Amino acid sequence: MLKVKNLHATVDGKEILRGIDFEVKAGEVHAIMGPNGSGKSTFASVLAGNEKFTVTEGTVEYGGEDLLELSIEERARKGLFLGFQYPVEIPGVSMANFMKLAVAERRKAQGLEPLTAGGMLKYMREKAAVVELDAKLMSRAVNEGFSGGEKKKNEIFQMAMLEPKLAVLDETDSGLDIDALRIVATGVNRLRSEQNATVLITHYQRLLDYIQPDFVHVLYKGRIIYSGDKSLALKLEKEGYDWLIADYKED
Amino acid sequence: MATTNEIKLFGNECGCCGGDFEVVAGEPLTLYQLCGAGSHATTLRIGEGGKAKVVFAALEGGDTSYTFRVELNGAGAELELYGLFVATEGDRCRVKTEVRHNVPDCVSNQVVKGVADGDGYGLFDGLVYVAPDAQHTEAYQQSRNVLLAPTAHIQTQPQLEIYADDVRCSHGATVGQMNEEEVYYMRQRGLTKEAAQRLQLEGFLQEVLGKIDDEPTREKFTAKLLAKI
Repeated sequence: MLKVKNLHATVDGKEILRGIDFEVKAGEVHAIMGPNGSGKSTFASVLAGNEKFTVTEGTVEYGGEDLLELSIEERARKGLFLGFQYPVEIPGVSMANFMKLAVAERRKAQGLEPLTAGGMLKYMREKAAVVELDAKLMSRAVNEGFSGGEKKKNEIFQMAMLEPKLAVLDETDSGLDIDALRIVATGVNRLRSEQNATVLITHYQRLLDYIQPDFVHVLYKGRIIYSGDKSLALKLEKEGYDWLIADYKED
Repeated sequence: MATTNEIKLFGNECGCCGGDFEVVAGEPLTLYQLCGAGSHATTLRIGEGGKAKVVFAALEGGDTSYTFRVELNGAGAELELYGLFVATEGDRCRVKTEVRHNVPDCVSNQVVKGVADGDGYGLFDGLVYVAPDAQHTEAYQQSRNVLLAPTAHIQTQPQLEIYADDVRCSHGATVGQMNEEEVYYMRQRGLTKEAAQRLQLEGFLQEVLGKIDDEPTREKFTAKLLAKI
């Protein structure tokens, strides 16, 4: 589904990603861990097409297409979803209206008929229930005045609405209390299928207590330096990154 | 039950709309102004316990100027004034407000939002005057503006003249660009850049439109706005 080869990217002339190789197949859950500043969020942003970053080398293939050739919205319509670390507030734009437009675009790309107004309402209520998001928030402006937990739940709600093929969740667990974390994780688990895939970018092992990854990768200085199964996350939690990083200090 | 006088002044039905209004207790005034090019001057004198609410918009293009002079002349008088203008290529929009707190215990709240694109020009010139003995005045004024093109121009001149010491007054004025993070976020959900920017602009102006209680009037303002942006 996703094949990343030797990906390099810069921001303001500074190289952040220095040759990432990474592959995701349908049905898989990958966790990307790593210390602060290793390039995790940059990797997520580059996949989404954030124009702040410039890809200088490498290729990204998504569903057989050159992902880097697609605009931000084309990637989204083709089922690439980014759960933001810091969801953006959009004053004056209601959740309901925003979702109506976003879902219409996604359905069009999927070759599905647009939903009726009633159908949309029902669909929204259904998906809000998945993440225990108060349906009243639908009439409020996007993320405006939402608590930290509500913002993160709202990301998973939007993911549920858009039925992505590939979801990249950038530190969706950070800043969540244990209840919110459980709800977010339950939402992600319920949306898992053999047809889609999830990439979890996280700092902490604790999210992986709730969502079992098939693979765990360590990103350091813009490269994936180590990959393993879920036991790697436990080892990192206990022993930190030093044992891994030591070999890369000279790089 | 108080009777509300609702006055609607819409473009093309009036060359220069506006007028003089006396507002007294028990008869609150709501004034909606959606006027075309021209100069529109309105004076409101609000007596003890009187309440007035004004929502205006400059969306018709051309050279449009709104002037409001408001006198708060009796304790408990209240003014709400909300406005928006969109100045695209060739348009000039000017908004001038003068709110005079002549006596103690009055409240005024102003929010004026402006958008300029192309070589459009906008001006907000707002004065709040608080007389020497007008204690317990509450006066708020906000001028928020967005430029969509490097050649667009908006000038904002908020002024407070306060001669009383026991008052709550605030004003804020900003001229900026649209937030790119918001556009990125919406595009990540599948909206085109153009659709995202349009939604964002509607959102920005929604604060003013949301003050229109009368549904058909709000729809009329919204339709004009959508046609303009």
